[in-house]
Amino acid sequence: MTTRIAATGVGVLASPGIGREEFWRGLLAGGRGPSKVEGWPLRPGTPSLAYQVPEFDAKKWIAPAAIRRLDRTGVLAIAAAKLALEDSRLEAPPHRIAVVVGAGGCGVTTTTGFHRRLVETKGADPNPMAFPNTVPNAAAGQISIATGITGFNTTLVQTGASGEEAIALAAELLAAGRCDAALAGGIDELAGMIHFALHRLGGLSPSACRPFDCSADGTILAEDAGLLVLERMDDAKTRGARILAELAGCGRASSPAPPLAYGPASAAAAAIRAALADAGLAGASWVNSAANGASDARCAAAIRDVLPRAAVSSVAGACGEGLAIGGVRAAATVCAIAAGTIPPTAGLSSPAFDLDLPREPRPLAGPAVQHGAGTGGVDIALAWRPAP
Amino acid sequence: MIRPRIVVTGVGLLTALGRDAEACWSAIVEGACAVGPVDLFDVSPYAGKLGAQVRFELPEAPLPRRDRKRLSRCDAIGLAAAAEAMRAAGFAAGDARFGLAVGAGAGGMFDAERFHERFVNEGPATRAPFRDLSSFLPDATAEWIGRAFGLEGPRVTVATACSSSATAIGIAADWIRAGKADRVLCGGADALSRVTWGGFNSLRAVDPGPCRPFDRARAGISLGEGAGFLVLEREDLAKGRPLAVFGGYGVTSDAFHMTNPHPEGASAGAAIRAALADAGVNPAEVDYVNAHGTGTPANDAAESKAIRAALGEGTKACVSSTKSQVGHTLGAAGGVEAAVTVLAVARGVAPPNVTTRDIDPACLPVDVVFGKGRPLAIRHAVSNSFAFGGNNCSLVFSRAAR
Repeated sequence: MTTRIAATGVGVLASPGIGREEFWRGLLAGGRGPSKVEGWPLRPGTPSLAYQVPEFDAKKWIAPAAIRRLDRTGVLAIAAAKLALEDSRLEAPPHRIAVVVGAGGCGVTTTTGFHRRLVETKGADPNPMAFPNTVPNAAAGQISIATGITGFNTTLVQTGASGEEAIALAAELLAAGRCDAALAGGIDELAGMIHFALHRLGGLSPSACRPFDCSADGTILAEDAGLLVLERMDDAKTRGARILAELAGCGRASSPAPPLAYGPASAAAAAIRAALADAGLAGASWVNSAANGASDARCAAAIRDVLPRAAVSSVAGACGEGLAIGGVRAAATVCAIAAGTIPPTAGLSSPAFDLDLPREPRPLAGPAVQHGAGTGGVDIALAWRPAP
Repeated sequence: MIRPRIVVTGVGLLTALGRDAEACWSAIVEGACAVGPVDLFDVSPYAGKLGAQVRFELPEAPLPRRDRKRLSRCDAIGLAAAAEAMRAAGFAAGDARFGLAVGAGAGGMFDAERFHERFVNEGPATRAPFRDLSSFLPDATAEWIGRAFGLEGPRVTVATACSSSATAIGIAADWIRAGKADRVLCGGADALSRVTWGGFNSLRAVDPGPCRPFDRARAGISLGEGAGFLVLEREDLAKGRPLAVFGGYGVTSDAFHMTNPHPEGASAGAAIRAALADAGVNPAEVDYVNAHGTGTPANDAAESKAIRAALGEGTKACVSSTKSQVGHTLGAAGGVEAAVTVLAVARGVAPPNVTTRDIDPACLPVDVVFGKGRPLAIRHAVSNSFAFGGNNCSLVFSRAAR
């Protein structure tokens, strides 16, 4: 990348914890595991586990009157945005801050609820309160309304690569001078219809998400929000910001896969290679992988191809698979670089792949790569390195 | 560093007015309105019963039969316009330097609703065909297009409701400027759905008759469906003949309300100004504005203020809303209207507002085009797309050198 980008703040709500420090401690400790979701219309015997955000008081970040107009996505989005802004002590004017949200399936719960009522009332009684939150960009809009940020605002959708895609676009907007700072990452609420569809496609585990383990038998959905504050490195230094990590490169690869199918492992490898090249790096010490318990072989093959000696782990063992989990994955990468520690993969006891798969926290020195894998043929990798 | 110039070398358009750009354009210039009865689903419970439904048979998608069976209505509409844009620019297929940026709205909702209705009525044991869900997530249309044309450059799906495809076009241009792609197929597609129909009616935002942008009696939108795609190319590498120059774009956010625009249109005006600054265009030289012009009381008044604030009180720019002819195509609107704007610049005609009779003084002194297309030498044109969440995107296109 010709423009150096700094991560100066992390706002995260995920199963291991809320806020940068609690999340990082929880992630290193292996997380809390999945828990049962109540109220999903599922056939008897269908697994109904998910990695859920610990209970929190939304009033910490949002006025009670405003909470009534929000769905869960909106609450998670505003909380993550405010956590990230506080963490970075950002000083940029509101019209120069961009909001770039990756949304794998944002709005699906509200949309299916809205349609359910249309079906049940034969169209006679649609819910006007719910409709505005059916759009995937509701989260980004709600962040703007709650924070007064009036800059570039957009929402990208690419299943499991949505979070990485948002961060890559934010870096491009910063490089092009379209903003001076960006809130970028991903937000996922739990959606019964996505859970149902994943189960029908045979991708769900009945017990836990155990990436890279011999016992891996599918993935488990996550509720999560992860937003970073990104700034141009020069601006961050000038204002004396605490720089957690440097975003050094982004790599994209597209392949002609149909919806709901991954492209070949070679496309994942191409994305990782492109991110390293964009960063001017010959290699990386750690790969924060997209492996989610259902995509492990593909992810492992790509890493073996490009970075066979790197340590490899996945946050999905502690956080689950949100489609826009890339925001949380980025939060973990940034925390790991700032702490100089590789988080191990939660739930990993007998490695199924010939890779360096740490089972305990391990020192991290040098650059790291994170991989986001979208179905429909989009892989995106981000290369990070310690702050200069 | 000198920024490379970007040209539009292909346009693809499919709306309720016609199956390709030529058919749509001649109907637009002649003042046709495609808003009429809708029979795609039952609209009888709603106050708004008219819309701009695509009534002709959609062309066969350039994909194997096995894939064609999985396409949503939105995918099929999008593939048709994307194929036309590729053909018009002279490309049979893409490569690793050919990007794809697609704006999505309701996407495969219409098809997913069939499945979900049975899911609601029969429960999770329903035997409703699962393939109706295969294009449920908004990124599906881009994936089918990428697969059909072998586009292996950068790819993105923007989902910001009614500004999606305009922003996708802007992102596409930035990729070319930054050297990430040499050419990008960009635009968007959307189809009518029960959810958006019920939703806009629940907000009482649908005009019972055809929508009347900028009219004193305007009472809301008319929903539509369609797709509009452009091929953008770096000028020095362009293979196709330039129809217009892509000048620049701007995106802002209102930070005000999820569905109502800010009444002063401040951030909308800032988006127009940012687009003009990005393009290096003097606001006084803008001759045509393809307005967002939804026909809701709030949008058209706020947008008129934004246009005047950005172009200057003395602006002579002609203004029209393509939504008076093809309805509000939601996620596709930015692409459809960008395609119409490019054709307006290339052909030297300002498209009309066909339903507007009595201009609202709150929208004056915007010069609205009535009835039929008005011959006009257009140096620079602006296309506005605003959206739920207070999202604003403006694009600038300029006449290509002859």
